[in-house]
Amino acid sequence: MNQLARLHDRLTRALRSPSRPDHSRIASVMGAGLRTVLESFAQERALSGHVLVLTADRAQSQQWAQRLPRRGNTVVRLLSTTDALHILEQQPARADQILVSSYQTIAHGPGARVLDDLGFDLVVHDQPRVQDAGLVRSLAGKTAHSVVLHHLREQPAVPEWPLLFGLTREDIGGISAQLQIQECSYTAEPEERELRTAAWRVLSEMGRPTGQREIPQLVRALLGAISVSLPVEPWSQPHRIWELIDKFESLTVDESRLKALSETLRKEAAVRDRAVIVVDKVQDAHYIAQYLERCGFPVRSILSSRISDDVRRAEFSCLRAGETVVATAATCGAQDNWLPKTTLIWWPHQANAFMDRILDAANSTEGVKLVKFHEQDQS
Amino acid sequence: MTELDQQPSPAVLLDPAALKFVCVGELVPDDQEMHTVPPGTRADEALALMQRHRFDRLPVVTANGRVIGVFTYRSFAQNLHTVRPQDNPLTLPVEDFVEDLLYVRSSEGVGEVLDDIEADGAVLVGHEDALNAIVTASDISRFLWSLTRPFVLLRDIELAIRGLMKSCCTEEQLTTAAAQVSLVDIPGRAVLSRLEHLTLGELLSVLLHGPNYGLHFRHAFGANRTFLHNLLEPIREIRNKVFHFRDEVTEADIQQLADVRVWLRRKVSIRGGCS
Repeated sequence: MNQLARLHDRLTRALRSPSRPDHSRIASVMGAGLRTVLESFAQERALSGHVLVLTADRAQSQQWAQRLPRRGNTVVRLLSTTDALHILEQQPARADQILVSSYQTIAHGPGARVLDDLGFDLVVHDQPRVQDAGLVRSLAGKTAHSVVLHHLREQPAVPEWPLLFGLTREDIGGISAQLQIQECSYTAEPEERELRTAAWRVLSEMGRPTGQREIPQLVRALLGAISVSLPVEPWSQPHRIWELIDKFESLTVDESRLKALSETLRKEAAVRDRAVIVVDKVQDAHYIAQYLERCGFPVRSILSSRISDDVRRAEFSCLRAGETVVATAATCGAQDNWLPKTTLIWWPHQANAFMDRILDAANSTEGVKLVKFHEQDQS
Repeated sequence: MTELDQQPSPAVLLDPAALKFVCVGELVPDDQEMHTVPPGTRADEALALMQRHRFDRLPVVTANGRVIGVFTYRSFAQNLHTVRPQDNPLTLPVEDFVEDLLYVRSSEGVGEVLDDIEADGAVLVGHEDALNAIVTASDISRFLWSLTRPFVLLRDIELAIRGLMKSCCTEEQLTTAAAQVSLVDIPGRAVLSRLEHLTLGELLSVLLHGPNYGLHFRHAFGANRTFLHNLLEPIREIRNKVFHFRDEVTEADIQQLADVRVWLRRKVSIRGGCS
């Protein structure tokens, strides 16, 4: 049994222990694969009672709903009003079913009414935000056992609940040796920085602040500010926005982050077999693929959540040496494993909800490397 | 290189639940909170509640969850003639003024309930012992707008692109431009001499083709072809999603269409067209 399996076993024992608190927390660093343990535990509990899995957004719920049936459970998705009304009109929920939903869906309307008459044997809360704390606490009132999974470094939604299991970076020190993480620093061109700062300022003044750094996303944010008319908007704002968009349009240099990406690919090509560039949105994938093709790095394909699970698995498993794909984080998050010597290149500026899942899978494969970009501050 | 699409796969068993026919359930707003009142509520209290929350109707529900009717401005007015002259109607209980609305299942087709919504302003989803939601005429308007909005935006975008391209060159030049991307003389297809014959994908291929762009289209679309490519390329995918019903069209997709539309509108305005 390797170290990761030992840790998972420890968590399983803690979850099964008769002396565990009724409502508790699991705090962990990213990439420890604890959801796999929670999936098994949810399946176990569903044999004797109602189980509910709640996530911060719909995309995360979809991931749970995709993974749970593989373990033989019947999963009922409560992800929309239509789902809710359908459930309300059906016979009472069967005990072996696992209900998967998001806080947004159960917060109000028919989604909330579905839960009105149900009690639960187990509720798994997958990274609830602080604003979801009210729902987490109120559900505990009609639940025998609740488990909240949250990041070690983030403020838990229900800090008063006792810690059932905590996993630090040191605890998984031996495991993370499998996943090599490399931070790649770059400096943005002054012209790019100035434009970006100006865009942030204008968007902020319009009450639409953004942390976006990529040029296409900033342009989209500016166009979005114009296409949505704001009653309080000063008369001069549209002019300032168009002026900025024109400047972005006439920018002749390529975005620095793109240059850092192609440079990384050039270096990695010599030592690695294959690369997967992980992006937030399909639009980013096209932006990157177009640039890479101009630079002479053909991209094998763009993978988004539109493809089926079978196609996704086939595409990732047949990646040949020297090939590159660009895939959305949601697509990568559904992947259980990677081919050895795969370089995962993380394009977004920040970690998102799928990073956890991606790191879980990366940790279970030997020789996977994760490259993250870091823009050096010049101010 | 293109975005990988679904691959053909062996025939699978048809799962009727997975096929989402447009049904009444989709008309119900996600955040619909149902306010109900007990039968003994005074009419003036119910009216005040309706005014405060901007409701047009309130289901009247007994303590054990049975719906006895719906109190509306119309039902109140229609039943006033039954009130004795010495009584103040505002102090009477709402149960004296209710009307019946049709009960439907959430899986019922939208077309099947339109006449009833037109006649009564709303239908109830569920049955008299379990009211799950209300669907009103304004829910239908909102639903239809959300359904048609991407089509309207794509229409504006496609016509603007076509108009701007036409403003850049003659018919002959356009035919030559189309030939550059092998869109003419496709066996079995008429010569594509008019932009109206091209799909949006083909239109973009002609527009974004390097030599074509430099020679003709940069005058209307701006000097930076890469910028334009980044702006327009995602539209091709969204259009396929919308017209081939491949995936859910997200809020982000709609916003992207709206953004491109506003950018094109300005280009049309600069070029001298009407905005």
